[in-house]
Amino acid sequence: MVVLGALLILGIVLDRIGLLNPAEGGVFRVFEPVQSAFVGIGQGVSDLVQTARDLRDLRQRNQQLVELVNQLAVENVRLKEVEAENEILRRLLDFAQSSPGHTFKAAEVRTRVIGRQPDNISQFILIAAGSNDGIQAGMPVVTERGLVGRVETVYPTLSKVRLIIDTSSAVSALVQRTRATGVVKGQPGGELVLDYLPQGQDVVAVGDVVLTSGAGGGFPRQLVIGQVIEIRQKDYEMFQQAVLRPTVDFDRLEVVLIITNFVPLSLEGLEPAPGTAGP
Amino acid sequence: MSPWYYLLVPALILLGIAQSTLVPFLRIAGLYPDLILILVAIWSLLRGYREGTIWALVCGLVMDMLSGLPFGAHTLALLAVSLLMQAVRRQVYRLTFGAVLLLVALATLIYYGAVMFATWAMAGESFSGNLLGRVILPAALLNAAVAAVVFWPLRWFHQMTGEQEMGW
Repeated sequence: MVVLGALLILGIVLDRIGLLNPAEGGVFRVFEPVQSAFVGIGQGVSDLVQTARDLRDLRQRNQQLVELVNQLAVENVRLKEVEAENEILRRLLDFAQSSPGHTFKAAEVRTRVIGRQPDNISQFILIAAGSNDGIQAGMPVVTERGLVGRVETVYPTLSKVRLIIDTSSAVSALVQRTRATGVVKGQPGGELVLDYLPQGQDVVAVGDVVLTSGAGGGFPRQLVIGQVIEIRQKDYEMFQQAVLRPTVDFDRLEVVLIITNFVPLSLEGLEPAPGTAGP
Repeated sequence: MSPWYYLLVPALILLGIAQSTLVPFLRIAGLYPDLILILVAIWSLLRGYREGTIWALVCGLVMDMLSGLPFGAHTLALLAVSLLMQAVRRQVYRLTFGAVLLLVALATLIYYGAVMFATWAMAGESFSGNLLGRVILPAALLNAAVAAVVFWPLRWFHQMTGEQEMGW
């Protein structure tokens, strides 16, 4: 017990001074085969159970997916016409072709989801790609459906990704139809809310698609986040909110892509321009 | 300490990994059971200070490795739960089955409160939204329900491997 207590204290100290990564990286080399085996078992059992459920819900789900695909197809055409110069979103949405505008780390084996947050109050995943694969902290993570999250911590062969449905996540976003901007925040239970939307009648409507705006430099522009399913508006409040259904199914993430040539904007170290008043 | 314990430590490590890889597939209404928390709480009630603390430390360290929260948050939270269960164990000679389930639900509240406090204290991160109503209270009910199943094999294991310290 003394040894374990010492390990705990050592781990906390190393984490605080930023030296825990090498130790964790070494441990993960041992854990990874076990994790992969457990995930394989879990996915197999889950698939069996899910098949039984899907027999009951298959028709309804299929109809919803057909509608969503049609909607996304129409949106894709609009984006290609209106946003022709925007190489990022067009290539992310067109996964059948290669994408020279962004570099994706997209080998299936290397970016499998091999673990999830072991509690219910935060939303992280472990992916099987790390610094050995060129992954760096801050890189956005996506699927063909849309934005998943951002790389938070990197090890040699693994990375931890904070999902956008985490309550600490905030993504600058805009409503595709009206270009109204806001911030998408994760909520308890995996919900997404687009907050700080200006009040007004036609700012947002149910069915609107929400994309990243690129404001703040945290994520590339025009990555699909979700679709509005509910609007929360009160006349006495300064802003209105929209509840989103994420286009990504976070419960069934198996393979993700990492945008490796996007560098998040950092304001640290910037100084005021000469002649301007300081804070 | 019993010799079987040296086999149990690797098993606890595997359980910690399973919490991150297998247990999320057992999602119910968007939540999954905190299997490690349930095991630590019940074992601390059954076996007391030393073994409950060791279970909390081993499983907590593994969970911290696999978690995106600051290192130590889960371990400290599990230790808090183990200490609470041990305090109850010292005060009460005999616990009913229903009381055990209630204690597991209470342990869930303590656990998540401790995780959030540790995360805030170590990294300055806070959690927004109605976590209590939407996550923690439902998780407490879910954990109590799972504990109703887990308790019996754990109790059998306790009776097979240790002295009878707690009256049931």
